[in-house]
Amino acid sequence: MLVLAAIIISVVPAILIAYPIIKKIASNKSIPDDESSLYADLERRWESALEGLRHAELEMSVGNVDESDYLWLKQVHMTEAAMVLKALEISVEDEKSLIEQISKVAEIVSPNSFPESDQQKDLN
Amino acid sequence: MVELGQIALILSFMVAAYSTVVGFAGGMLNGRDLAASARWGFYSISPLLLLATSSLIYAFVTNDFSVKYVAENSNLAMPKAYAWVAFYSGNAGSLLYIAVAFSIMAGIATRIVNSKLPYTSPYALGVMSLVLLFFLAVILFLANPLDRHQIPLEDGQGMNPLLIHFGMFIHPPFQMLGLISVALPFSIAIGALLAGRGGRDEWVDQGRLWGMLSWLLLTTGLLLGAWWAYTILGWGGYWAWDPVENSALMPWLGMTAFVHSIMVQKRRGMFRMWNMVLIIVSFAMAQMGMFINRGGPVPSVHSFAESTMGWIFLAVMAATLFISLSIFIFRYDTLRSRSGLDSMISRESAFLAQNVLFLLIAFITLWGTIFPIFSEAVDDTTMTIGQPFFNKVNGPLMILLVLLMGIGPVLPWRKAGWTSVNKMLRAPFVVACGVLLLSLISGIHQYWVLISFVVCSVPVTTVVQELVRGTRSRHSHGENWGLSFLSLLGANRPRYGGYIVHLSIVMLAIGITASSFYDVQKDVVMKPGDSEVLGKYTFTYIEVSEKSFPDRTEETAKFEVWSGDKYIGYMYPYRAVYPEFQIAATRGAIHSTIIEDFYLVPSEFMEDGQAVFRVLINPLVLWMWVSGPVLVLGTLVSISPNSRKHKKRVRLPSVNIDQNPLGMAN
Amino acid sequence: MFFKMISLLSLQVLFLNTACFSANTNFISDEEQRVNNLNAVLMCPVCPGESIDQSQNEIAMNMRTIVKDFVEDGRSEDEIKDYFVKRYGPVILLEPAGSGISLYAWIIPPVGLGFAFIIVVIAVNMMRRRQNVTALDNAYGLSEESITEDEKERYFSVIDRISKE
Repeated sequence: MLVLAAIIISVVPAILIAYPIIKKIASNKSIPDDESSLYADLERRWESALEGLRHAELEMSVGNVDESDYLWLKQVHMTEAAMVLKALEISVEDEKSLIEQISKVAEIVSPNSFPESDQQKDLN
Repeated sequence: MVELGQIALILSFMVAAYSTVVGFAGGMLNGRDLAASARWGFYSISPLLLLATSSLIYAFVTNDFSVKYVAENSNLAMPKAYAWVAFYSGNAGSLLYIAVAFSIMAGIATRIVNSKLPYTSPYALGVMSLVLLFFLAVILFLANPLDRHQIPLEDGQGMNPLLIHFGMFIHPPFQMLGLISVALPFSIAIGALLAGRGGRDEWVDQGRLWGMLSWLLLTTGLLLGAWWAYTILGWGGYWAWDPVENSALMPWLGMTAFVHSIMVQKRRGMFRMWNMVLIIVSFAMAQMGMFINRGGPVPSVHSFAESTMGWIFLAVMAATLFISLSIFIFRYDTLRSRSGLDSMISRESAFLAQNVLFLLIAFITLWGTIFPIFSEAVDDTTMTIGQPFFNKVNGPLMILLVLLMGIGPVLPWRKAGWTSVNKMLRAPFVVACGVLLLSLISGIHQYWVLISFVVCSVPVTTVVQELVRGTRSRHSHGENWGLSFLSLLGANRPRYGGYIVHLSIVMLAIGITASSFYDVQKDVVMKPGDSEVLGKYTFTYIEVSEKSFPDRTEETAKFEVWSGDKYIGYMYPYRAVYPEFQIAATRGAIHSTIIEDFYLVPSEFMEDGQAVFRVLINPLVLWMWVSGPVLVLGTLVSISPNSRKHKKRVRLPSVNIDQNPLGMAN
Repeated sequence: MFFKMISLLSLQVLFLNTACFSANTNFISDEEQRVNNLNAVLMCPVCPGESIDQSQNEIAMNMRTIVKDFVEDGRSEDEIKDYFVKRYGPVILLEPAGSGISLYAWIIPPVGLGFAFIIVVIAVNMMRRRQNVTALDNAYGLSEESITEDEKERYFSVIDRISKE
């Protein structure tokens, strides 16, 4: 009786452990966004810069900071946000040149087997 | 039934071991299926442990005294409702309670962390499973509540009568929950360190969320403990700086520092190392709390669950500290601040000062708590340090913290010029002067009380000022007053929730100050028919009635109480004697008003019908108990997900290759 | 509005003060107050950590009686403390004395305070001097200086628009 109970109980964790590996539930899903990627980091910085801007706005409207402090704060957060945008722009250009390089290589290998994507149309 | 529980325990131990190994492996090998398997396995632990728990409770309910733990903590006379209390009143059972509670919380945390931080989560899960594994190992190999006696017993020894009380249902569960829940933000932080993929701020949101929840549980546990001590244990006080109280206070101090300084990392990318150190230290202190409660080396009134196992906790605490600090040093390079400090007068530096003060108080508390060990080692005398020392040393530091609580939140991030500071602190300064003047006029001449009240007025003024200014600003945009107030609170919940918490802390501080400096205490000997007067209260001792129970005799005194010429009614303080345990438990009777408590407690009933009573008037104690719900409300407001903001969350402008919303020239 | 606020707070303060004030008038005699004070700083020898004031133990009760008798005899606080110290050793005092091993109890906190202060000063100095930021924080080697005025103008208008959405 006890043995039977033991077996029944142990079936539950066994199934839970085995199922994800057998069914490959995680591999079958798309790869999740990486929280440590450059983009995620830039996104966090962008949010905190905008939060800072809004905060400065609030403090000013409420009357907690004087004009000169407000302008300084605004400038600082604007610059921070601008840096994020610039970094993003550079990363996009990097990506562009990477795609160009790849497509060039592809053309050399087989000029006709590489179908023109929408993206490439834009690039050209 | 108990055997079923044993099986469940062993199984959960095995699954926890599996989750630990496979969780870390999944993280390191980037095996997403492995990590999922570890996670799903982990989810199965809490039902297993719930099964073990219910089998133990079943043994209590059915009076199965062949189970050692049941025999030690229960008897036939025990009311059945207390089976739940008996479950965690002893050492082994409390460990099982901690394990089951942690497995549930960690399961929920894992689910959420996994959706937000998919790459950190396998490591965080590994750390959580490791923590759980430790508890399960201790339960299985050292203190198994489900073990049976060789020879079944007729009746058990019974629970410590001091624990048979309604308060046992709420204070210990919250306290234990609070202590173990520190492991959640700790696991997430260490997980992020281990994942170590260059990122440093990704764990901040989750760390803050679980840190706040843990802080909330710790605070609730402490306040409930104080409330219980005051209303039930009947010595007229609520906090005695007892070692166990101290060891519960220390992680609270650490976590309070943490939930504040994590904001700096979120906003500025600073304090990255500091936050890591804080959460590591807080977890170590939480372990210390569990260690001292489990028959540690320091004598305490809370030593209900005494055993030698404390030393294992100490060793594990040392190992935890060592390993996590090693990981920290190993990842040191990735934790440099993103930006520097712009000015000494800024929110950041206020947070820094606050952090250091909290840690200092924690350190002094630790020092006072372990002083008996120190003096024993150096001088061969066990010098116990008590209340007066802590009040004298920590009191002023706490007042300083209240002052910071008033100034810090209104300092802007980054930098504030003197004109801004002047703008924000003029009103608090004026009000503080007013308070000082009024206090002096109304006859408060105690040095520390004056300082405390003046300081308490600062956070109140700044919060009110913020709310008034914010509401007015919104009102001027056309919203009506009520609406603009609510939308102000809703727009920035972390901030205004924090303000509500700050107000509750001020209430607490005022209650503590007033009741520790202006309490009146008197011991009176009375016989039935006697009347006495204390302050405006007149109380008449009418009679004493004795009632016998199987396990105790209760002597209940009946008093008729008048406040001035206002009739209050009867009050029934009583004293119960448990001959088997040689313990007497007293229960005070309290008449509580918003201004003061009138407190009656019997100390001794003598043969000749005379009795000794202790009578106290404690001012403003009710404020302390009211501050609790306010604090919970504020915390919940500040962690409530901001749904509106979430919808309108400012995304990065999408810079796609085929479209260019920035209007940048190509 | 400002005056409303002040008046509101004053009301609250007045309330607090009356509360304490009402408790403050001398309800109990000086002698009783002295007994209470002494009870709070003497430890119950068999229940460590608890004062004899808190403890329900018989020894504590006896000690309370002794304290009461001594105070009524007119002995000074120090004399009474000395009496108990002679009987039970310095352990009996809950508040560590200012001599011997107990002195360390008092010395460490101010030392800690000083130490904390030094740490803050050093930390602030380190933070004021900008640290070398890691590669990710400084994506593409960008710093505030590397953005030209032209770029600023262009970006700022975008940021302004988005932040006001």
